[in-house]
Amino acid sequence: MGTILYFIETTLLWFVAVFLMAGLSWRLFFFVVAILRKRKLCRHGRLHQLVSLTGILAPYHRAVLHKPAYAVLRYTFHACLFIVPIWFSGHVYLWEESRFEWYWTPLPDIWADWMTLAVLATCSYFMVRRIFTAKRLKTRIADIVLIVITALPFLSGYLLTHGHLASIAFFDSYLWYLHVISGEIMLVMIVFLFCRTHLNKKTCVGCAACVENCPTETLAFIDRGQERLFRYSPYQCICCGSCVKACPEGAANLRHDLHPAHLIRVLSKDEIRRVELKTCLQCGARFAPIPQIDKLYRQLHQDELEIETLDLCLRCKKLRSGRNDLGRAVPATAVDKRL
Amino acid sequence: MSCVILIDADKCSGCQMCEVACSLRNMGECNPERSRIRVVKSQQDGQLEFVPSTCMLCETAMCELVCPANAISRDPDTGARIISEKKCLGCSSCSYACPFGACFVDRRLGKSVVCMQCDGDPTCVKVCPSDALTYSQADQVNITLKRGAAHRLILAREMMREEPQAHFPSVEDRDNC
Repeated sequence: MGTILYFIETTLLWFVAVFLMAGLSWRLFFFVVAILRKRKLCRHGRLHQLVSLTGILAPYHRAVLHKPAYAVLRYTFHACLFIVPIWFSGHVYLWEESRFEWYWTPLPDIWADWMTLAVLATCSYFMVRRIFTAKRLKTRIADIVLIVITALPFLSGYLLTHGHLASIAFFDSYLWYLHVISGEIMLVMIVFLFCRTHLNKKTCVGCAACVENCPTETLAFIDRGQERLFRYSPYQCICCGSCVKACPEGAANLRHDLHPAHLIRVLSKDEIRRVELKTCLQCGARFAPIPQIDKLYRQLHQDELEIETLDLCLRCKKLRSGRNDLGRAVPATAVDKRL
Repeated sequence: MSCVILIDADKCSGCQMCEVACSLRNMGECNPERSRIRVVKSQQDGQLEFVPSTCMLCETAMCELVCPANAISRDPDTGARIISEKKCLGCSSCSYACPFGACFVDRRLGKSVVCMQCDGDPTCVKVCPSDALTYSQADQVNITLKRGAAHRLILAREMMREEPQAHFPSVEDRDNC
């Protein structure tokens, strides 16, 4: 037992540190490789790239505006998650005593306490939300594991500094090791943690606005035969939230995706959505996603308007406007029932 | 008073000069695919037919109604539709809703584009060699159309006088022959 605990404290820690560095550089390398192949990035200009890269930090998403309280929670959670382990005084003193003798000004202890509590509170909130309210988002085991592993080092760390679970003897003596090993697991997990756009199958109409607004060509669509396929390459995603911001239906959603297989599948693309395309009534070409045309029908019906050309492709509509003598100058196809 | 680009499809020779000029002015390259006025070619009974088509400046504009981002507005001076590049999402709702298929999503810009009449001085009209495109006042257009209809009516009356059993030439018949 003693050797195992010693192993956790020393050798495993080294392994984890090396793995974290190697994994992050691997991801950075292939991220750059994937990005450089894209012409779209160059097209938008450097400023746009920088803005997109900082998009993950800047809280101006439309998604944020919809749920401001939730957004504040999310930002505080991530900020605390990042700040506490690095600037906590105990960790800084450990670094100072180590062979590196690094030292930086630690956070006041009271701040660290409150931030840890904030992390724990938000973690439990996310957990409750995940279990009770967000069932429609299809909770996977990985999602729960993600939250638990994130909360564990903070919980054990808080207990370490603020008292003991004397009643439970096991935790009393092994709390330190629980803290270390859960922290190690969390560091390993960072390497496997990807972001992923989810397109809600019920609300997404397949209009491809997310694709047009994606600055890194992470999302792409291809019209193949009867269907429009949406593809997603996790390596290129910079989590800027452009797709969430752009989606007119509010169907796009960015979520964490704990997926070890993604690390190896460099430059591969996942299919995230399939939409059937509508057939043009005249020429039989597939031209638009069916849900989007249906949505336009509904929308125009609400405005008490009728339009005959929704089922025609662009080319047939143009031909029709030329053939129809009335359409040549004054539009007669739009029938306004209100008049 | 708003002006419109009046298209006479019968006069169009299909040279696609308008497309080239439009894409050069508005997109910075000679690429008919990205032009805002398109000449559609169709073949009927072995006869080629060219139909130029662009924004018709509808009174009740479908594109404006369906746009989820409210990006489409009307230019107060020329009456042309303007799609705000900042607001446009590129969802192509407008292009599916437009009865004439005038606006489309430029996949390289990622935004929807539509004819904006080159700020009151349309390039396509300037370069058209066969006078198929004319830029005129909206009320003038109505007069022109009415004149055309009256002219056809006179023709039809003459045909009836010559040949009383003749089939009355409707709009569809005229297009088919």
